[in-house]
Amino acid sequence: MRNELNNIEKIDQYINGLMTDADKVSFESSIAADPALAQVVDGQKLFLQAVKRKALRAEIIAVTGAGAGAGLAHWKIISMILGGTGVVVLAAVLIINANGDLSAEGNDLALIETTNDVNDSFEEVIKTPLIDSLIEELGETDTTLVESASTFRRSSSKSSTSDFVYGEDTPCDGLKTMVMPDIQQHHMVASKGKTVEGDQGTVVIIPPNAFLDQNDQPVVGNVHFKLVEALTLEDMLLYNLTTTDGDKLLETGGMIYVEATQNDEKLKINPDAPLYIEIPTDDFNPKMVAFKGEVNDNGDISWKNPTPLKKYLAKVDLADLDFLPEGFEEEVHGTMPFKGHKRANDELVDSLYYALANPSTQPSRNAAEIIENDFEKITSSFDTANYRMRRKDLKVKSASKSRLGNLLSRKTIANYRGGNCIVKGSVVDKLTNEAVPFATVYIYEDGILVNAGETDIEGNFAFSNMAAGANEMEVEAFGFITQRMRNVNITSGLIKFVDFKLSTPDGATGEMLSEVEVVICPEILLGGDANNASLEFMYAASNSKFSGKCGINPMSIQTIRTKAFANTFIATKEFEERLAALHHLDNGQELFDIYIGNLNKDLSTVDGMVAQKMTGEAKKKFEAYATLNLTNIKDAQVHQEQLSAYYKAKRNEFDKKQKRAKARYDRMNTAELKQLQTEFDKLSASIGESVFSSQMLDKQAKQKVKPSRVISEAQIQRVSQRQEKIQRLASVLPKPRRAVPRVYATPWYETGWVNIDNYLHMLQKGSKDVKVLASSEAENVKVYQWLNVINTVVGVSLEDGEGLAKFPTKSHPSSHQMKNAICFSMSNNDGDISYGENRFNPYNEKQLSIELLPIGEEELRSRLSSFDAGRSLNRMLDHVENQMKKAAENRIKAVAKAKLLAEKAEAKRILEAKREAERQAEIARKAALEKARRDKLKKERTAVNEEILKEQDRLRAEYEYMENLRRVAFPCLPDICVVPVVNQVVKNPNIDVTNVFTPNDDGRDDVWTPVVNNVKSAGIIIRKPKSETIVFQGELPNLTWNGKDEKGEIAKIGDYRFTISGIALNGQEFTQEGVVSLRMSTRVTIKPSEQ
Amino acid sequence: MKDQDIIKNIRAGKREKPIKHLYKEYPKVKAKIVSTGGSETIAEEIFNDSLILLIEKVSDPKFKLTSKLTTYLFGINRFLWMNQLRKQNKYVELEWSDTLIISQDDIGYQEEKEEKLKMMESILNTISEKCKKIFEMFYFNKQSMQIISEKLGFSSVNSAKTQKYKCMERAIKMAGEMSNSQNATS
Repeated sequence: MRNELNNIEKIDQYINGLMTDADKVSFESSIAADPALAQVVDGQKLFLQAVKRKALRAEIIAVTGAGAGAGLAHWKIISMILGGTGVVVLAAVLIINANGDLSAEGNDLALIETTNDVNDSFEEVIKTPLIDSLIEELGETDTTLVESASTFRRSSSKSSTSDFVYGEDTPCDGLKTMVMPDIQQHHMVASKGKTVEGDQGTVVIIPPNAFLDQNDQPVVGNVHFKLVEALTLEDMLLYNLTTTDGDKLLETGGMIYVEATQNDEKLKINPDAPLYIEIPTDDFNPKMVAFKGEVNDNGDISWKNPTPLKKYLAKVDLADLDFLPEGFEEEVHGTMPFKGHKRANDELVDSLYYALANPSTQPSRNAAEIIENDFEKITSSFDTANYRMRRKDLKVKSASKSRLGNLLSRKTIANYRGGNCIVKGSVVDKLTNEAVPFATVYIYEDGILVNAGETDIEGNFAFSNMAAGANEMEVEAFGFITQRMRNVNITSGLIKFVDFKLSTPDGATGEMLSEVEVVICPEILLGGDANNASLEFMYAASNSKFSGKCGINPMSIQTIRTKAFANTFIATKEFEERLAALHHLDNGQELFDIYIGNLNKDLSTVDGMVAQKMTGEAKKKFEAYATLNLTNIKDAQVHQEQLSAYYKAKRNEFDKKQKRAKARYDRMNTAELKQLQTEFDKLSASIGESVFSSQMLDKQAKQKVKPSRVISEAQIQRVSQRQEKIQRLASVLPKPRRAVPRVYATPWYETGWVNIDNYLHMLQKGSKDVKVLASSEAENVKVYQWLNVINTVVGVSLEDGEGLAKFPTKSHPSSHQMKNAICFSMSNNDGDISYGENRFNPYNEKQLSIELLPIGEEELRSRLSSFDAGRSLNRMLDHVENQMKKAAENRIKAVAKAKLLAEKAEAKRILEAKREAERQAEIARKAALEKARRDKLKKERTAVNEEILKEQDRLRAEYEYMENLRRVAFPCLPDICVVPVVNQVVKNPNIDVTNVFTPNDDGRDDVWTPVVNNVKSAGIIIRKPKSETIVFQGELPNLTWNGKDEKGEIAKIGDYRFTISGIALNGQEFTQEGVVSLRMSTRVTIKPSEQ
Repeated sequence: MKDQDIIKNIRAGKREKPIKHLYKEYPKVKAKIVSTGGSETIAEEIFNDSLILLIEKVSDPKFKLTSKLTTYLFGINRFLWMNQLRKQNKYVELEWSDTLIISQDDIGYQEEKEEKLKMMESILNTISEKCKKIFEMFYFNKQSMQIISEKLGFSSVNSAKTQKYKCMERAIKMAGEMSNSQNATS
């Protein structure tokens, strides 16, 4: 043991360099000589490396907390807010304190020193474990993806970029910048295109084949794509990107630089496949336009060629869109169980909704036109091939559960939506002709159950909205033999009356009546005669259907879910949003039709058209939609795929996270919910605290303003933690989804600088000028004026170190907001940056001077980012506060609603129970009565039978008569049946024969052919006179008899009996008998008279 | 932190700040890996491995940085991930922005050796706490045996040394057995 340890020690010392040189040399020669030793040494080296690695790994985990996902997210968020040090507290002061007037006196934009008192009140970060764990569910990514685009923006925590992989000298078209811009590089293949997402949230969609070389030839192969984003004010300043167009002020929504090269040669953009750029924003200003930036010889930039922005719509799979009215799905789920179904799936929800469609309401003209024009397309989409295919599906499935429940769970119900056939009838006791209530009626097609229902207390049943094709019915009732009727063909045509007569086990077997045809003429249902008992039953259901007085006919919704509409703006999230609003309006159908009728227009245009027919809140909402400049999906042919894919991916990501968090929230029991509420309340209260504290802050601000002091990092951390929690929580609580983030979007045809800006005309009517002097040794000094009203920085042009800063005149309404003006100056002397600023009231000063002092880049960034305070963070916090308020309100509403629903449900249950009891009692009573009656009526049955039959016939005749009248009174709707209407004029079979024929080869009447028309099939049998022997048998079309008998010889002269039988067009069998005489000559032999 | 500062600190053994700084790149790497089918766990593993490789490389006095450090780090990550994918028989040429393209030779990555190291590391999980402590203090924190024997309560420096070598011997033997059994079954 000792020896081996010694060896280990020796090797250990060698490896760690602890041997003397002499020893080392000799040891090395031993290693060289002994390969086994060498192996051991290697093994030990490896071992040591492993030990070091192990420790290193542990260190990494200890230092970074790697493995705790939420912890990391936490850290990331802080860095995001910390980038602009002091901004958070600042913004809190501005928002919570001010009454919307951000520039009130005392709200100075300097960093504010705090006292210990303030520290104490910020001390305790509210412990909210439940909220924390909910947030953890959400994981790391931005949960406000949908709500606020500002989180796309990150502050600059960029390291100084002194080393560039590609070593460009003057990137971005020669623009001279204060610091090296952060150039994001991407590689792509020109023929494939790419969707590039910038670090700050800009999205550039590069379609395939988007680039041309300098000779306008299409570029293939690898392309190097560069993107620079300057979305924050500080970036813009540091990159020397001023916001003026000539001498016009611009309010900016962001600036980006795009460039594509191949082998270092700059490429142009293909005008047929332009780039499509989206820049995120919080403040959507519809007047924003896009400018192209031109760099002049001095390395400064100016913006030219304003072009309006176009926002394309992204096409979405119709199956992903929810067109049902808000709350419908919840209602269905809430009223489960229903007809044996414990839970509702999507198909059931859909079919219940469509069942409310009223086919009798005149569909809007526009929809009707579309349907007519696209009839082919639409029928082919529910087409017979599809239908047949689904029938194959049906045969595979076997009925396992209860029939009714099974029926509802089949997709087949959805298929049969398209039909409008109506089957109705009654079930009576054969013996007494008394109605059989609560009998179950089943309808089959080729042995597969497709519909089922019960007879009412009068014994009547009716099925509407059935598609053609079923061909069997069955009736089941307690105490009776089950009746099954075949050949009950449900085809388009007339209403089908089918009557069943059931018999009791001790009676004779039942009879079946033959059928009548089936009707489809939905308009006839309108205005049913309420006094007529059998019709009333059928119309009773229509009271719950769409009346035309509110919302949208479910049939319209059904219609737009077809292929014909998949390439219109109907198939977009934007339309889904609008549709949700239309369901609530009285004239919803009319407005809906406007959309349908203008599918080729820009969505925003149609929004405007629709807004004109609205009032109140809805009108405002749609007017706002109209300002979004949304076009259509047609335009975006080239970008559609990429846009859709991109948004789908983002949405899925976010949806998944939301669902998880929401599922978790939903699963919470009352105790947890209570706890959540408490934590939430605590958190809200802590905001109240910070108001108090910020009031104190404000006091401090008035007294000591020291711009260069920074608030403690720990404090900022705490505040930001809280803000983050609020933000996250607000997004966890249930709320409606917004379709897409607000973005400025435009197609773009040129490389170079893109600026989304807006003209402002503040100084048109004259200005108050203040002379500004900026002193510095450096050559290129720039002075800027910060216009807080429009959040813009404007350059002040200097001559000999002097310039004029312009402000609106004192009489201008915005002048009072300009009282706290700031001018600042920067200079870049070979990499040494200097900075100075001066705050003043322009209406009190005539001139001011700015002294520039050296400053580091980090500090400069933080200084400049404080000017951005107004925009993104303000809005974000505002927004969050609103979200919290709304969430709290919603909670209260939800609780109240739940209570109400519970009460309703309870009341319903009691009522149902009562009714059930009543029904049971009724049944028992009836059963007893019937038995008595049955005994009584056994004596009088014949007469009564006939009486009732006559009555039924009368009703039927009357109904048909009315139907005919109505058909003339109301113009027929376009036929939207799935199956084309079959001509139902059924002719009777027609048989035409000659009585005599002569098979004597004289060329005249040598054969006998009966003419049989209007039949499905027919056959003939000819027998010998006074005999059963068959001489000829034939089937259509071969009915010709050549006169030969069964032996093949010409038959004897005589009168042969023939029987023609077959199936008529209406399916009935028919038979016709007659006689044909076979003679040999036409000569009439006159017997000599016997005188 | 500037690249040169990072390197200096690592070489001086002050690894905390550099690690923290470099770890800021994790989200980016994770996103890239997850978007090509990796799980979060794998991404974390790979990133940690890349940090370790980076630190090891940087610690070598002969190492010279020719690009941005983060570029290099991404390069290592990309390499490791592609390696991983290759093991799953997915041969992908990843296109990552701001990333140095690194080959096996560039960073001296030897598959076999790495496998062995991983195995070693897993064995080190199983050794006794005392052994772990000794190793950590001696090889990682570079403390003298004197201090180690005092801190861990050994009777003398020699007995601490002996214990250390016993631990080492046992661990190396286990490794030997493990690789033998692996070879036997493969």
